[in-house]
Amino acid sequence: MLGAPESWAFKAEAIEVEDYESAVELFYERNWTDGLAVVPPTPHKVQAMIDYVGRDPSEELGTVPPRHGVVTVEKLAISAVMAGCKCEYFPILLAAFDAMIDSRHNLNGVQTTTHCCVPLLIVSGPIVQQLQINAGWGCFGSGYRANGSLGRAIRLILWNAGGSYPWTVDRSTMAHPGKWTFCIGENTDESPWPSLGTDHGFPEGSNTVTMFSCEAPHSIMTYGTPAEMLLPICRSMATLGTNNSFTCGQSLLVLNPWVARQLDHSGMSKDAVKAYVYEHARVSKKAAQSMGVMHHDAHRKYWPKHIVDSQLDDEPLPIVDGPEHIHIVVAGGERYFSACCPGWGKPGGYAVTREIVLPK
Amino acid sequence: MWVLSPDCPPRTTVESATLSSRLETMADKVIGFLDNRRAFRYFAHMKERIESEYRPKEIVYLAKAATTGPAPLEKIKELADRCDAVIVGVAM
Repeated sequence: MLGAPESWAFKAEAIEVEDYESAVELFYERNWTDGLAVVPPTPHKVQAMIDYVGRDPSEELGTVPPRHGVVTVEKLAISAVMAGCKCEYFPILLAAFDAMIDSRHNLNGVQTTTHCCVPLLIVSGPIVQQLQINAGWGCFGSGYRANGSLGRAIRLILWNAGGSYPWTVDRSTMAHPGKWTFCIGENTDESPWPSLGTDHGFPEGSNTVTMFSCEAPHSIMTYGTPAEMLLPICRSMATLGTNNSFTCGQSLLVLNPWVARQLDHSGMSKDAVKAYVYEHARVSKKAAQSMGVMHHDAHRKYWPKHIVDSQLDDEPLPIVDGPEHIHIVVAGGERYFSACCPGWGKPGGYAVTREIVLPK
Repeated sequence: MWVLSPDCPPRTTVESATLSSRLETMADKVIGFLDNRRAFRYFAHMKERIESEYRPKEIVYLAKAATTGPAPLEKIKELADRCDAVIVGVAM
């Protein structure tokens, strides 16, 4: 850090630039951003981010495949500043990063697959309201600093530590806009059911973040009686051509609060909805076998054995490994639409949840 | 104005890795296959060709549980300890 003040304790290289505009251009030149301009991570801003959580900046949090760059608290703070995060968002990022590198999530595969899946942050608990994370109208869209910057910070650490660029090892054939930012809040206040964090073992009322790698949301028209809503939900989730349709795995269903209340009033708990979807969101064995990918013996690798062995052409193939592999989140505006986000399938991207630890 | 680098270098790099020595021949050697589950029938074909044309001492075949995750370290070590050369994965 030639010329940098000796009082600085940062391990990261410090670069002197002429002005703000020069800093923004530098980050493009050094390939430190994936295409969007960043907030230059000045020492002052990075220090404030680190001070908020009171952690040792040199603490190693883990590595990001496929490059296996080493991420410290300091490096994650730099990404957070670049993304435009407030300091109060940093505890969420620390939990999200830890969830994302969990082996069950298979980040190495997510970062390099030809599939389009992208890690989605789902924030649950009182922190959603406190930090104004959008869990309502337009939850998957724009307009909220928290959603935009949290998702962005995750993308930047995946970029700068993971080294997965679309012109090298990131082989995502089509990708999707979640590669820019992908973060929603869960609307636990309007939900009749336990939160996603509670589904995954945390006490009700906990602040949690779940990382799940998935496609962009598919819109589902959900209107009418519960039966009339469940029909398009099941058909949408069982779309032929998703990885779920021939490898099972996990899937995400995002129901708007009105839909969730209708189902609840009809006597359906969240588990009952999962069970119903598991039984009815099915692809016929014949349809799945008609896909060209079957030449690669996908069924032998991914299907339940009883279906591989079945002689019935119309044996219904489930889209997930079991009802517990359907993740249900209540979010969005109270109108006619819900959404599903098919997962990467059996290869990975599985949901991992961590508690958000707030500084004392 | 000062800014901090977001670059996160890995602990080891390709430049710091040492390549193993090359085999002169596969005859009378122990040859390993680490199937990344993308090889489909190609590795089976390759195994047949190697056996018939090179007469290795032994073929050790290991298939990973999943394509996109690494093989367990103990299995990698087993292959490294037992084999003179290992054919690793196939790109698709």
